[in-house]
Amino acid sequence: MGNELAKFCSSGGCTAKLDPSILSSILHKIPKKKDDNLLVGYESNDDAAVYKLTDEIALVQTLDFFTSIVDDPFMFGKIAATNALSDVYAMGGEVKLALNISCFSEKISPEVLGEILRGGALKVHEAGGVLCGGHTVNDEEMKYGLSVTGVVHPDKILSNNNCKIGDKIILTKPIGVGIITTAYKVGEGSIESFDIALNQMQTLNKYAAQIMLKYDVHACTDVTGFGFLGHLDEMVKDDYSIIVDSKNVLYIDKSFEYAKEFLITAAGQKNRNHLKGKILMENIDNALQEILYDPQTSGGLLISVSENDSLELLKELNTLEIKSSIIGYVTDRTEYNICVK
Amino acid sequence: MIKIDARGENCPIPVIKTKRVLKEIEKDGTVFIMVDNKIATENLEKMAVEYNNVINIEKINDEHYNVTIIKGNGSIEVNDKIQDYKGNNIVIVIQSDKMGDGDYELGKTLLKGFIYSLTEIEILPKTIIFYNKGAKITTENLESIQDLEKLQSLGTTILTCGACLNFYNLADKLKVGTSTNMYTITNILMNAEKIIRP
Repeated sequence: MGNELAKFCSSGGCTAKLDPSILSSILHKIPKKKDDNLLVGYESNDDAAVYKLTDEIALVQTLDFFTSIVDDPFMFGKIAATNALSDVYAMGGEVKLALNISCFSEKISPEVLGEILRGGALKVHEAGGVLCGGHTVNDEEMKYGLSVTGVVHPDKILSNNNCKIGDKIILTKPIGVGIITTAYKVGEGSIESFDIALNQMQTLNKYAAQIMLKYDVHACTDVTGFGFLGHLDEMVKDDYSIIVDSKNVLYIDKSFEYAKEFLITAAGQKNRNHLKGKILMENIDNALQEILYDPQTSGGLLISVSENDSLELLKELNTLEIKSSIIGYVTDRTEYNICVK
Repeated sequence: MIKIDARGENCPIPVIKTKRVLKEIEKDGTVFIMVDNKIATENLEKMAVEYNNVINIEKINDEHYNVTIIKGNGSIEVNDKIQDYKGNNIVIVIQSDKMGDGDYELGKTLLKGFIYSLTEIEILPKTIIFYNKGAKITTENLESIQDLEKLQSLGTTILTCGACLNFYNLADKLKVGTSTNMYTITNILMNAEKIIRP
């Protein structure tokens, strides 16, 4: 019997992430070691760690795993792998190697785990990497993900908070995935919108990343559990703010209707609470606000690109199947990190 | 006053149940919801504000919050009759001892899997009606009977067509739920919000 995933998972995908305020309260207490080769590490909330090996090569290391939001194990494997691989792309890197991390119950038939791993392998190979082992722990609640190693040129690392004033910000996948999957899970969502969400969740950010690297991009991150606003906030520093043009933020069609029906997650509310005081909403419809805080699983990239290159980059990104849009721009510092208009 | 005990349930279930109850209240009424986390109270508050309902949140302890939502001129009198919310009006009809057309053994396995899955999904059907060869399930299929007993303990009504039990000589072999007649079956189907025939 294959449909055993969802029953073992109380909250799936990126809603399984620990409350962000709990994380921030303890992370700063972890002892830090100084190493000049650690190019990206503790200081910022970046997508991956980057460690310089030579003048030409830096290692990109990242890890991601979670519980399932879908019943089909093969699909779960693909989504979890796509999500984990994304962080390498968000740093401007190339995927080389991955290891499986999984928790699996001995009460479920092993074929289910086999299907999850098959999905993961498919995506690692599509990313151009090699899947070469991993570790599985016996656990009532099923979880899967990857530890991923990539490479990047030390001078071309794309950290998440290096925007320049005047940059435009591009989002490469529509949001609303959390709301759509929640609605579907409780029997109030359409299969069509769920299929759109599934397609997005299993599409690698590789293709958007390959295009982005040809342009004058200053910063990049990917949108996952902390939602569109949560990850956009990670791009902000003390010396600039970001203005969001809400009508240009693409979301999966039905997510607005479902948000209006309060088919929203606890994680979305936690994201909202964590960003208190940092976001100014100017007359933004409550349902749209829910979408902006909605946790995404395996979301798109947020790219901060020079104004001059923005239209060309957007045009090329829109030759891909999943559509991108310019969602805002970087401006002089205001009272808030982000202002949503 | 309608009471919903949503403790142990993840968002958005508490909100959805409350929303459904509020929609069923035509003009004035009160809904009393118990949840086990603060976030649920925040999501309920957002909904109450959106629908212009009065909301009151009382924290009992870290794992118990009582939320009262008043629609219109709803009453919060202590002696107001409290009804427990029983869930959606989803009716499932099982018309045979197999699921789908085709191989019979496969069909029996599919139906067994379907009934088992009902015990695991979050939405509880209000009623499951067995008729024609479906009567074999509530009388002879021990594994499914166990699953049906579990659903019954959670609040689902299990009914088997009496005429069908008689036809298959199973009248004294009903192991779960009660037997019923076509009038009741018709009534239930006509009032159902959703009818599922797997």
